[in-house]
Amino acid sequence: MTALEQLAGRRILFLNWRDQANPHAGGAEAYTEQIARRFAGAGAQVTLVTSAFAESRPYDWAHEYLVVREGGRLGVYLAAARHLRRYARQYDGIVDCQNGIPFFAPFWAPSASAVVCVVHHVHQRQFGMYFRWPLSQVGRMLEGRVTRAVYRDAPFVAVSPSTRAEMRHQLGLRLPIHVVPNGVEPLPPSQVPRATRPRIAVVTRLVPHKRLHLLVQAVPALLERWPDLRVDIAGTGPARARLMAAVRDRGLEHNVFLPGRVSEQGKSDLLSRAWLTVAPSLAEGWGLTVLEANTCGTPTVAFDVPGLRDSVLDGRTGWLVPSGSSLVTTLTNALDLLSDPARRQLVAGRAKSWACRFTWDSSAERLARVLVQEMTRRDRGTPSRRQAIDLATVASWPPEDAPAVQASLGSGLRMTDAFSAGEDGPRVLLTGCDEVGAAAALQRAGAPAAKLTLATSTQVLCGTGEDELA
Amino acid sequence: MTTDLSTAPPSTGQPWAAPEQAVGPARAAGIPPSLVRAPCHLEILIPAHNEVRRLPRTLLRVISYLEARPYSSAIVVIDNNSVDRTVDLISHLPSPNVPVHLLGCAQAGKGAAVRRGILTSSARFVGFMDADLATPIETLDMVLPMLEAGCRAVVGSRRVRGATVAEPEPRQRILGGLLFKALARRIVPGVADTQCGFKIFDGDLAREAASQLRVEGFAFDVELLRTISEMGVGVSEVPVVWSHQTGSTLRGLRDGTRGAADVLRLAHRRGYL
Repeated sequence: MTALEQLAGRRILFLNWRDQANPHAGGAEAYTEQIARRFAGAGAQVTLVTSAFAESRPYDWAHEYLVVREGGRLGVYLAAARHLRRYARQYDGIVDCQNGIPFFAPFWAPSASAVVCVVHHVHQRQFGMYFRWPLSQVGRMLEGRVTRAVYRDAPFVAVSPSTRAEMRHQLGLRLPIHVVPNGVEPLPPSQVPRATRPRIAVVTRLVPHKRLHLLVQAVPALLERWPDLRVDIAGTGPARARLMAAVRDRGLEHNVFLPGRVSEQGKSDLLSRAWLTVAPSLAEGWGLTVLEANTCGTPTVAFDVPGLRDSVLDGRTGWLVPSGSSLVTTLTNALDLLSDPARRQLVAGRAKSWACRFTWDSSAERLARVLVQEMTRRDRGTPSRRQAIDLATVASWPPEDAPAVQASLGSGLRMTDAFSAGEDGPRVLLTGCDEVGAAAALQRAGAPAAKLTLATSTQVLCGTGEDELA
Repeated sequence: MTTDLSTAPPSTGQPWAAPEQAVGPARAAGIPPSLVRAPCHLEILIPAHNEVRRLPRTLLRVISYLEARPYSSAIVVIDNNSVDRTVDLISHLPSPNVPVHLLGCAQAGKGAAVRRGILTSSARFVGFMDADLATPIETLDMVLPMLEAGCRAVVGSRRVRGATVAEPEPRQRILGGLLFKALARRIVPGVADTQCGFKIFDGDLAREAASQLRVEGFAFDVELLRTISEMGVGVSEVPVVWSHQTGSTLRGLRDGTRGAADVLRLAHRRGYL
């Protein structure tokens, strides 16, 4: 039985500061929406408490779950606290999505229900950009110290291994952190063939921290080698005017185009035609644009920074610019490789199969596993582990052991351990343990002796013991 | 003592029978025999906790040193519950001749990590060093001939004639170390410097000693040396060229308190307090 099926009939509360209908909705809202909808689809009674916006309705049944809107950007935290004080006992599980500041559900609803806190991105460095002292300091304290004190035994969920590392380093969290990534929605299929001449396409919101000016600055050097290079930077946003000026100043009007907002079909066509996409950001929680390009078979060049080093498999679905190296060098090498049509096809295949690994269905199932495991733990009253383990172990067996493994692992594993049966034999990803811990767990389950190796961060991200792409 | 292990099987994950004297201590400590590595002449253990910045340089230096030696060797990185990408780092290392193994240790502390590394080794000589390369790997030039000549425990020392301390430790660490050193000297008389992170042992001796160890933090050095001398084995010190490295993952107050508590407990157990 999947974890989603176990949620049937359970009452689940999601807390997120905006909902998908909000005009400012972003990646975090998509995450909540996609997962809440799937929880509801599995038969759970789902409520989302979120902030109100201009002309929004206080209650909404537009989705398959109830949306309750109250309070503004900060008022929503008070509204959520009130909701928790009043109704927390009616919920079996609470998914507390933090956007810089969490909703502190364990404080408002002590001992009432299982709480899982989802973190997309660590904001410690951003508080200084948006608030002045002392408010910035208050924000940092709420995200760090106060969170540590309030979520004493609740499990956390990070959207990527990079975010998990930041939660350990910057927030000092010692609790177990599970990884549940974003899914990627396939773009409408495109009939456009891949260009025969070098083309780079980027489709994203044009904001300063995406640093697309670095791409524009790299173009003159690239033109020396590929005079017929074409770069499309689609999307709108506050940085667009400056990018246009940069293009004009360098006289690149015939090579760099900024078509503005494009439709989903236009996005799909642009990316399908391009050899490459580029993500020059300084950091991302998760590279959504990278994965979207990958669904079209388009590889990525990105800096080796948090988030992007998770979404780009260096040398396989794209290339990472090592720290201290220049974008031009990596772009030159990448275009060189891709000028071979056979190579373009090979990379496109890999990029597509990489993107296929991230579906909202599997994300919803993985979050459900964390939630069900926590609900079970609270029902039993067992204390949570005091020291969290970030290591994970992959156990693998030869194919002939498959029946024995499957028979023994039916009930012996924890909810969050992932079983897969590939051609080269069964595998299990056991999170939160080293090889010795894994061996003990498998022995208790009665499984035959396995080959044990530490899981790579890609395996942790994908939540499977399968190998990375060949 | 002169068994030639230079033709030891390369460790490619293929099944092989681990020698019983290596599997015994591992099994006794609850470690499955499949985790015991193939034998070789020398195995260097490097415990690492979030060392992804400093480890690559260290590994490349150690690999290039070991590749130029005539004996068979291996490097074992023990990932002590890192959250950074230590695991990924190892799988991308170019090292055709010197295998680099990766082993996890969820139990926090350098002592726990080194113990796990020793108990899964079947090498003739096994030792450990710091991920920051505070002691240069060239120290092996001096250490290995001593081991081959019959010394069973050779440790690097900053406090014997010939040692140079290129960059001194920060002052707060010197102060914090005073009590520690005074106690350590009583527990292990005859060893001037117990805390230099460069120690190489006869494999069987290390395995036997490691199965008796209990300290998980950095004070395990003291316990290890004490156990070895109680087994009637002399510890030889060699001078090292030591340089303090910044970026240590040791945290002053918390780890210091734990280390002090560990060494006090040791002293108490041996009847010095």
